[in-house]
Amino acid sequence: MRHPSPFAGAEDLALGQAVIIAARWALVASGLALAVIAPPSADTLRTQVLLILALAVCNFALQGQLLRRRRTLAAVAYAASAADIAIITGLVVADGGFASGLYVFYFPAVLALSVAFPLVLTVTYVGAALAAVLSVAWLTMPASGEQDLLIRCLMLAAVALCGVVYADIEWRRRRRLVGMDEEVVPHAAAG
Amino acid sequence: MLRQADPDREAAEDVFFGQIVLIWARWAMIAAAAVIFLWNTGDVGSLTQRVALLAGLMAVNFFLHGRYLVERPANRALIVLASLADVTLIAAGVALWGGYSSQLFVLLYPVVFAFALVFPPRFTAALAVVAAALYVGGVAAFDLRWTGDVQLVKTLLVRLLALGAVAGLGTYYWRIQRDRRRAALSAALGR
Repeated sequence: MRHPSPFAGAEDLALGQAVIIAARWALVASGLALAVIAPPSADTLRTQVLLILALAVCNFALQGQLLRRRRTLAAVAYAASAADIAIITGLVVADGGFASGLYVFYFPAVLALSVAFPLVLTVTYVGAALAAVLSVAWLTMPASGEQDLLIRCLMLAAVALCGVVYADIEWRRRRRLVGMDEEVVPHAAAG
Repeated sequence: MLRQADPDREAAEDVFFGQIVLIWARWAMIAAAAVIFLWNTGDVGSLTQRVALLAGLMAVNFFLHGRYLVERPANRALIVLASLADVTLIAAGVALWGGYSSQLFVLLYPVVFAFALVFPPRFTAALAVVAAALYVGGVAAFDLRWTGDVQLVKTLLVRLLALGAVAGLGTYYWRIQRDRRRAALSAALGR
C-alpha cells in the first residue's frame, strides 16, 4: 500500500534523497571533528579520515545532482546508502568493534533510508545494517554484551519502523487531502 | 470543498495522524525495557517491582493506542507529557543502571525521531535539548569518573551528536512532507 505506483516511489526517493544527503553530511562533519579530537593512534586516524573524506566526495556529487534538480538515479541512491552502511561498519571496526561508540551513526543512516526507500528495500537495508552490527559483535563482543547488542538492534529496527509508518501516513494524508473534502478528519480540528 | 492550508489545522492533523509513530516508538522502548528487566534481575523482589513498572508502561501505551484505534487520539499536551515522561524514564534508567556504560541512551533515538515527525521544529528542538540534558545528568548522577578520560568524553559527544542528527533529520523530513502536502493541495485547488 505504501507505493502503489512507480511515480509515487520515484517522488519519495527524490525527496527522501535530500534527507539521506543531509544525514551523510551530519556523519561527515561529526565524524571528521571527532576523528581529529584526541585520536587513539595514527593508524586509526588515517583510516577514519580516508573513509570520511571518500564519503564527503561521494556526497558532494549527489548534492550537486540535487542542487541542479537532476533526476535522482535510483541505482546511485541505493548504492550510496549501501556504501554508508559499509563505511560506518568500517569506522566501527577501525575504532575497536563492539566497544566503539561510533555505531550510533547507524541511526541517522537507517532513519534517512527508511523515509526515502520503498518498503522492500528499507527492510533489506535495515537487515543489512543489523547483519553488519551482528557480524562486528560476533567477532569483537565481550561475554556479557548480548543484552546491549539486542537493545542496539531493537532500536535500529524501531527507528526504521517509525520512518516507514510515518511515510505511509503522509502518503495516505496527501491522498485524502486531494481526493476528499475536509470532513474526512473531524477529530483533528478539535485537537 | 478544498481549502488552502491552515497552519493550526495542519498542526492538529499532524498530531491526529502522526501520534501512531510515537506509540510505535514507545512499544519499542517497552520491548527494550522488558529485555533489560527480565534478563538482568535475579531476585524475585526486584523482578516484581520491575514487572509492575513494565505493566504500568504497557497500560499507558495500550490506553493511547486504543484511543488512536477508535479515532479519539490523545491531544497535543498529553502527547508532549508522555514524550517528556519517556525521556525522563530513560535518563532515570541510565542514572540507576550503569551511567556512562549503560546502553539505554539508544532508546532516546526512536522517541526523539518519532516526536520530530509529529511536532513543529521548536518543540522538537526543546525535547532534544531536554533529552540530552537529562541524559548527561543521568550519566553524571551515576558517577563522574568518565570526565577524566578524553576518549570517553568524545564517545559521549558522539551519542549526543547522533541524537541531534536524529532530531534534525526528523524535522527536515517533517518540513519536506508539509511542503509536499501543501503543493498537492495547491495543485488540487488549481485543477
